Amino acid sequence: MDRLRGTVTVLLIGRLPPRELNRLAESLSLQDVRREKVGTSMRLRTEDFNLLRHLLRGSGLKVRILRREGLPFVRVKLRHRAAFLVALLAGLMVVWGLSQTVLEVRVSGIHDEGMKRQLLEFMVSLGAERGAFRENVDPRAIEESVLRSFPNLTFASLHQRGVTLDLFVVEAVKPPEIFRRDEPVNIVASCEGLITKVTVLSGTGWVRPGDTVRQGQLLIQGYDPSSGSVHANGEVYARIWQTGSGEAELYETLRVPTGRVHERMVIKCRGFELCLFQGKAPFGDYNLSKEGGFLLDGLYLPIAWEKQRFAEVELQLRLRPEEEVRRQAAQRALTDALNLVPSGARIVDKRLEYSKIGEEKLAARLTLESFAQIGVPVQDN
Amino acid sequence: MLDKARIARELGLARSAMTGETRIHMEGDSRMIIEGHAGLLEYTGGSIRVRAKGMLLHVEGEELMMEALTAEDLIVVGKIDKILLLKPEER
Repeated sequence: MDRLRGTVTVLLIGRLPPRELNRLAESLSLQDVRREKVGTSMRLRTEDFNLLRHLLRGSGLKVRILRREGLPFVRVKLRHRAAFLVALLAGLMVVWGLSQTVLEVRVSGIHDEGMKRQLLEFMVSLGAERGAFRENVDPRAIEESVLRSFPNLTFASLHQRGVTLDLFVVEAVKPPEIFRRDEPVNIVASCEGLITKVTVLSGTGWVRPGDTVRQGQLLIQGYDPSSGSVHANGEVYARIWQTGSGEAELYETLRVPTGRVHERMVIKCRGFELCLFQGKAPFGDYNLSKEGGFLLDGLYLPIAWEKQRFAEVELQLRLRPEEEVRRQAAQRALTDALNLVPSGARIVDKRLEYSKIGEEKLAARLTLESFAQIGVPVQDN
Repeated sequence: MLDKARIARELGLARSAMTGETRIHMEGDSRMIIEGHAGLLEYTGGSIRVRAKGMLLHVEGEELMMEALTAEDLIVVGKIDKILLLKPEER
């Protein structure tokens, strides 16, 4: 409390007998009374100072102020430092402004990066973005909008943690497909193959082991002689062959740096670009690397800077090692073939053939042989 | 004559509240609170003499300072070595 009202530490120069000290104590609240070499020092409230001088009148003691402390004196000091005060206020306002601003928006609860990006873009459209004032963000409204616009989500919760907005979402679990027994369904072949095993649980089987079938051919009909149309059920295994192809270049173009480099700075603002210091690169072929960021980290000012580095290159044609070309073509053929193999299939054999395409390319053709369940249900029309 | 000390005891009050006696409170050997003194008689950095009701209090020590001084209360801080309570006839 004394700090708020202000205190003065004074030195009373001269002899201060205890009788006088008692007289002062009757009217004043004295603190830190101490004998000094030339007199007595004491601390008292600012408003008591004039009373002290009045009480000491005629005593022959001199009063010297040693120290002034407390808010009233700080106020007087600051009155003579207007620029400091303005800077202090401006600093406080900036800190307050930043504390009221969203500096980061996060999405948690899902691992799909594409979905995260979509949610972040959607939140931007609702005003929940970097640089937005926290007061303007309505978490409940955003949660409701997110759930309405993304039906694959079952839960959304937006939390404000300091200057961070965290949207926590939970994806809906898809219910299993309903197996309707009363619906007439046939089972047909999903691809060509040689039948190896047929298991009919309901319906009428139309193929036997050893038969060759084409894609879409009826395997088990949804019909039972005793009860009419039924939901066909069963498994049909077959030996299948899938062929994939891939190509690889025999030659490659090398970009060999010559050592000549050209750099320039570009300032970007809402679609406009301004090149600083240098113009376009004086090379025909070059590698371009960029590095940049936003001024003030993108807050309020949509001004970005970009440093572009053009490194001149010389193009050289080189014959690639044969082994490397074969491996690349085979890898591409394998990827192509695996895309055609039904899931759950067991690969039992493979055959790889190479052929040249003109003088520039090598083609690989890979045939995979596998066992798979090829029956798929289709509705009986 | 009223026995104020007895009344205070019966009522469960602090005795000094009824009798007006001086209360002395010590915090270790570095702080001493004197409530209800009757005036300062002597003060140096090495000793302080205070008038109390029916006696005289003499405090000796080093670097003695009065942290607070009002018409009734006194707080002494410093290194307190000795406290003497002197009756009027011993002065």
